[in-house]
Amino acid sequence: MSWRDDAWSDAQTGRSGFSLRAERLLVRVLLVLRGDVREGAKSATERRQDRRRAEELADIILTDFPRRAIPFGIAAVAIIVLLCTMPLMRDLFSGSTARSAGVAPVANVVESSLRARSAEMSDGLEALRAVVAPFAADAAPANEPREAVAPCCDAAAPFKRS
Amino acid sequence: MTSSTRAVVWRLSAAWIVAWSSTAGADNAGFALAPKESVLAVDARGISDLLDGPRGALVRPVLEAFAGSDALGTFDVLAKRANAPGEKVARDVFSGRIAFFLPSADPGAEWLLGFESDDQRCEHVLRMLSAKMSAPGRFESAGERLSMRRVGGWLLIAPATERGRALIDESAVRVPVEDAAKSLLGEPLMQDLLASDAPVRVFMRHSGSLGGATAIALRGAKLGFHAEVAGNYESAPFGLTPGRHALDAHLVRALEDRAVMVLSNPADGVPSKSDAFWVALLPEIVPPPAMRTNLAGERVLMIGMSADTPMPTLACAWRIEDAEQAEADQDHFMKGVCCALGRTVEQPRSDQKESDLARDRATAELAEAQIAERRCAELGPFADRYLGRPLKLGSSVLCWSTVETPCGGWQVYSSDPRWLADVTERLAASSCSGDARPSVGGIGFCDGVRASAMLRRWQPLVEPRPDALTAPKAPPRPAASDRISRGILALSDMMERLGRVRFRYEMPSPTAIRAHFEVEPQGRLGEPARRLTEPKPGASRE
Repeated sequence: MSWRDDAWSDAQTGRSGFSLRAERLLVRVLLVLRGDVREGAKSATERRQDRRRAEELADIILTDFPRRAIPFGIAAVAIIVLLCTMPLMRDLFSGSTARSAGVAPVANVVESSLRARSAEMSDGLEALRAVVAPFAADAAPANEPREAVAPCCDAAAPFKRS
Repeated sequence: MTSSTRAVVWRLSAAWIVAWSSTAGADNAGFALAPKESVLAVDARGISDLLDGPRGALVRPVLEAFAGSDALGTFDVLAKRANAPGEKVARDVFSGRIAFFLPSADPGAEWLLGFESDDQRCEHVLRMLSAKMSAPGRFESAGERLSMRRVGGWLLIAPATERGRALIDESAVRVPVEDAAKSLLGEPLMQDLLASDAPVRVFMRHSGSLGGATAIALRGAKLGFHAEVAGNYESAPFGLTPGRHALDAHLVRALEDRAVMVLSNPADGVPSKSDAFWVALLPEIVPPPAMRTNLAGERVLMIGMSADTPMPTLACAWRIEDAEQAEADQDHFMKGVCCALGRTVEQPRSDQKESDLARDRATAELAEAQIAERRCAELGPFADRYLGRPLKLGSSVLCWSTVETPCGGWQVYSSDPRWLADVTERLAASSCSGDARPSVGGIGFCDGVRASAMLRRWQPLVEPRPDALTAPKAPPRPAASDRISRGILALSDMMERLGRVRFRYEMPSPTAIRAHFEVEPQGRLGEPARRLTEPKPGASRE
């Protein structure tokens, strides 16, 4: 059964009568615009022919139009969206390049970055100082007398003098 | 000369003196803004010189390592706000004078930044900071939470707090009349720095036991920059010993092809107070007077990288007058040192007698064999025991050589046989140059790239991460260890970007130091921030 059959009814299509009538009206308007409706058609046969031609045209429109037009429509909408959001995207990307600087006040970012970096460097220096400390403790001031140098003593060796 | 001519001459002279004094006064105008008790002050009156041309590309990575990438990223934001290319903004901002100071060392202390600027430059800065005028000559940036004031050719910027605004007003008073009594101009430790014509000058006051202050004058050079450092402290800094000697700069340069760091300084062989701990453990390390009389007064400390294990290698060379005598002295001396090392490492078990003739004999035979090979293996265990295992120096081997040269020679000691061979070769080839020898307290260099690689491999004091395969539920590494890791990474990053640093110093007194640094930055960004890589399981068990 096709929706063009005479037996096709509002109930079978599941659509309201108003919708179908609006559709038919739209098609007739299109036909008028194309000049396909015969002005003098008054007979029942001519009206049926007009009706059939209108429904065939409506069939084409309602089945083919979405398939052909929707991809173009989506592409057009995507282009419009892209064009409209481009400035926003540019700001977003430049903001991410500048890390958090785009959000937080510049002075705060600089200050916190400096503090964090100097704290890390200070930890590193402390680690190095701990490594070097046994070899470079505070040197004796030059004007202070040095401690007496212990002589190299064989007696300190673990084995006895032979 | 008529009286009218005299009057004209007098007036011209007076005008010249007034003009000269105002110019001279303006020369330290950046420091005049800072209160006398400031802990940090910077006066950059030609920072564009440092950043000019190819040098800018070299210095930027150093700045980034010092300040962090976030801080430098803000510059891009400012450039965008000014709607100008970054280079133009940099030229606008850095072409004039910039002053910065911290009035106190408190963590939350306010700061003040000053731009000496014409109206156009001032407008650029105000636009970058999105500032709005709040009163004639005063501006506020709500977004940046900054307060600004235009006074006498300066644009003073501070945080928009009560204290920040007070800092601005106090500094503004000192702009037209520089007040030595209330500003850093009157600080005794600043006087040498005030006389310097360097484009960038930095003053740092130290708290704690070190005390005193450090003054740094920076200048651009062909391949980087030079820094003149003058430090006056309340206690002796860095364990350095005063004294000067004619040191061989040619030799130090010759070692640049292989060493991580080299330091040459005067030494007479007498242990200092800093050696007291080691002398107590190993009395034999004190050279006898007869051996010391052969020393020529110059000692070179050379740090390298071990090829086999992730640890540094050390070598210390003493210039001597007579190589033949030195060889005999050295073997005799090292016999005692090796025995002392063995004694400190080897402890008798509880069931053993303190005095065991058989054990002592075996030890003596081993020592004889080591002396013949001129190496002793107890240095590693000794380092583990007395410096601690976290220093990861357990693979060290004490070895030594005597180098004979046409001008005398060297007694060389090292912690690694391969490094000993490396430095011995260089000492033999390069230590009799006829170049003039500067009489200074020390000369040396640090190769930042090698030092960085060594630190990343070595990771002193960092606990090894538990192996995920053998101990899947091992507890995470303690936070302190992570802090050390990050610290070492930050330091190695900075060293890598600084590139090669050559230095020389002298100490006019035990608490004062004058140093000159030549920095040749690496000129490229370091590795991106990441956690320190642990050695692969089994890699150290070769």
